[in-house]
Amino acid sequence: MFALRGVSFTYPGAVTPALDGVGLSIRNGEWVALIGANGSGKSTLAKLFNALLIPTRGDCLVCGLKTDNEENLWAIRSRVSMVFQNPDNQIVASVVEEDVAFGPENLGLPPLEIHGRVFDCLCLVGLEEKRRAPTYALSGGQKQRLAIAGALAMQPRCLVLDEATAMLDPQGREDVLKILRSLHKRGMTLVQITHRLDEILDATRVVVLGKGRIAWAGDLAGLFAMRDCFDEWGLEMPPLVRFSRKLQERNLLPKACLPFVKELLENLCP
Amino acid sequence: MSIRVASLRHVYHPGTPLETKALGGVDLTVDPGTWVAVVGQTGSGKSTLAQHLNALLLPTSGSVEVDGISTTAAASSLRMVRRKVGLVFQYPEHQLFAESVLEEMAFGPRNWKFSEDDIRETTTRTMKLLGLSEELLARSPFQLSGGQKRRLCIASVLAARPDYLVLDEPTAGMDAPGRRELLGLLKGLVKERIGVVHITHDLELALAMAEQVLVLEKGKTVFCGTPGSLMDELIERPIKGLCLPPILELVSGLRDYGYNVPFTLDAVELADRLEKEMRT
Amino acid sequence: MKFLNHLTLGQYIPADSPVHRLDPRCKILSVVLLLAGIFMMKHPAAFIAWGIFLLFLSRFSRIPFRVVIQGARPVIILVIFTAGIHLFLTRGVTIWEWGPFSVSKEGVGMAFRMGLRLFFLVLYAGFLTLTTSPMELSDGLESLFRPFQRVGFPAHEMAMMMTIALRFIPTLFDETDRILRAQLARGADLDHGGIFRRMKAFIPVLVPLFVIVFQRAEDLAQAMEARCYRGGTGRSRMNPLRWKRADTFAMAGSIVIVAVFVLMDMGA
Repeated sequence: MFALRGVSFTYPGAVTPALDGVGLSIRNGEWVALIGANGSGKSTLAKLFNALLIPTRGDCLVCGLKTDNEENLWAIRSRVSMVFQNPDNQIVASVVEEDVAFGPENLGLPPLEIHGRVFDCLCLVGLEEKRRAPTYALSGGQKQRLAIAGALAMQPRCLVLDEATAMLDPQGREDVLKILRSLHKRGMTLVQITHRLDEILDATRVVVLGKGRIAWAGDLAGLFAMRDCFDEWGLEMPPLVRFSRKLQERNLLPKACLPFVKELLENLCP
Repeated sequence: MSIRVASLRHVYHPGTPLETKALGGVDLTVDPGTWVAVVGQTGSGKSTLAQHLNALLLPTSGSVEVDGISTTAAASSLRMVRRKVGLVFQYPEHQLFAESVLEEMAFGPRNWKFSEDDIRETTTRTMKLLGLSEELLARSPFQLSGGQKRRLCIASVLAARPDYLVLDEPTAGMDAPGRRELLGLLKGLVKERIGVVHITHDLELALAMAEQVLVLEKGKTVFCGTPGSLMDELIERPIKGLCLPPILELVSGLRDYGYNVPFTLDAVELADRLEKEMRT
Repeated sequence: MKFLNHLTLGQYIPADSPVHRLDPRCKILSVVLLLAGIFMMKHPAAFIAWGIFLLFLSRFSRIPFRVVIQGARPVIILVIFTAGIHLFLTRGVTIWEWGPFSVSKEGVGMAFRMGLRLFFLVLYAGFLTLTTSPMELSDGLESLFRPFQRVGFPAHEMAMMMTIALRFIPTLFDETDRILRAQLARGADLDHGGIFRRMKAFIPVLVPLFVIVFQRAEDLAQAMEARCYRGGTGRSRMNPLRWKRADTFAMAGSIVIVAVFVLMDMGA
């Protein structure tokens, strides 16, 4: 899906590169969590995935297409959709269904197809009741779900979420995560950029960024084994994960048990 | 000498089709040198309550008194209340406007007619309190890092030397190290005898930091007391409008099953206690 | 804190009426014609005719008349001011005098005429925004101006600007309110002082607003590009505009009404 080779990126006018020599590949169907402290380069990396930014050095390929080739932009952006951090700054239209239609309209699709996609995507994010509602009246969580619907309307193969839950309250965050889980089940590739470790517990792979470089990559279990490095990486271990590990160390909990309330209770209270 | 809120009711746009009851009779006391948390979900009225504490909003009924001065008395008393109670909104970076950090810091004190000497003194002192180096004074506030901007905004409100500080989600959008640092700095304010009112939707954070917790749901008080007694009450029954942090949900489930584990936010403590229970 | 619902901006009221169902291009062109007609009003009877037509439109579009009248609220001061100017500054046969002020018979006539013209102007124009959604309006304008794209007029860009501006008006209101409160909390005094002092006092509100707006523009542009936006070329519409028989009928009707009213007026 994605292949980055020796990628560096420096913002115009900046002295130090935001990304330095990053090499990464992501396959179809993966849920990759890109984590790190603020300033580690995560958002910069996210924007390379859909060619909003082009590496100052190295190559970035999306589905085999090079991002520095302008002719590829259209194809890349219809395969990779992105949801940004600020819910308000992604919404273009005054009415919910019109905003979801924005992407398909840009693709020049016929009206009937657009209607179909709009309805399907609104159902996917649970906003079908609000299809004619004004976008201004939505809550933060609803706005973000609208943004996801708009991104899904492009029928992408991959969804990149750049700190999409950072500005939401706990309920809003949970609503978004529920949608991500159901998308992943249907085979969508997900790249989730966040600094909250309690949101990545469904990820199939984790990449830790620090100061513009990849500090570590592996799976979830491996990540939590590296807890001594968390301070250096600017990460915080979620309490449930710490709890699970303690019990697993003392053989009171199967290693395969996921650090969610439901699974823990199933295993500890048979 | 404290903030006293009594039977506070607030209705937005009364008598119009947009009428909303934001607060329906809330009581609260905030003493200097204490940390009070106000917890609730979106729509619980906590932000409305915050604005009452420094007279940005006036009560529909009930009263708000700061050190004996009522917010519904004369207009001049309003300014006194605003001087005593500093309010930091969510994402306060959106209020930065000055050409230099020094100007930004001086804005509040200047509005309250501090002398230039006083301004210099309070600027130095407050920046130190919030961990901001003096060399930043000449820079533009827009050039600072995210964490520095946040601390600058809080410092600029503190520069006016309020007796109380109300903060609406001060750690919103911050990563773990930033959050820890900021909360540590804010804890230091309590030592300076400032009454801190922490508005948040994060119950875990409130329980960890506060001496007194007020839980609001749809404008009504659902609980008011110490974190310890809140945990005790959660043992008895779930509290409406409270999104339990996962660890407390887990404790609740374990207790329902029969394990005698305490309501704690400490994962290690919980694991130890559960281990003891499981081995007996 | 949510702001009021912008009744002052000719708020769109969704309903299922024959007027709502008309093509926005038809409505825009008709309103332009009607406004031109209003401007030619002279005889008092004409005003009654226009007033009756307004009532008729209100019924036909299922919008309560009091809502239609409310559209004039924001300009009531302007109407009174305009009427006042004409009342006192029109030369003619003096019918009332007090010190330096004099009112002539012609002045009374002009005041009524100009005041009512402005009043009807606002109400009829308001009909356009009451029965047409922002998106429809912007689509309609884009379509009407598209022929001019050949000579370099950016019809699509203009329509997109309109859509986005309308979308963000409530958001900006909220943000201004928030910034205002934040600065008030820091002791800002926006009520006292002379005009210069007050203007200066608004800098702490305007600068942050500008910063937010610029950041928003950048973010929004990125978000639009990420959804394959590249201007108007090759863009389709979810609800394309379709000119129907009802639209021809309404258009013809407007032409006839204006013609009849104007001729009657001239004849009277």
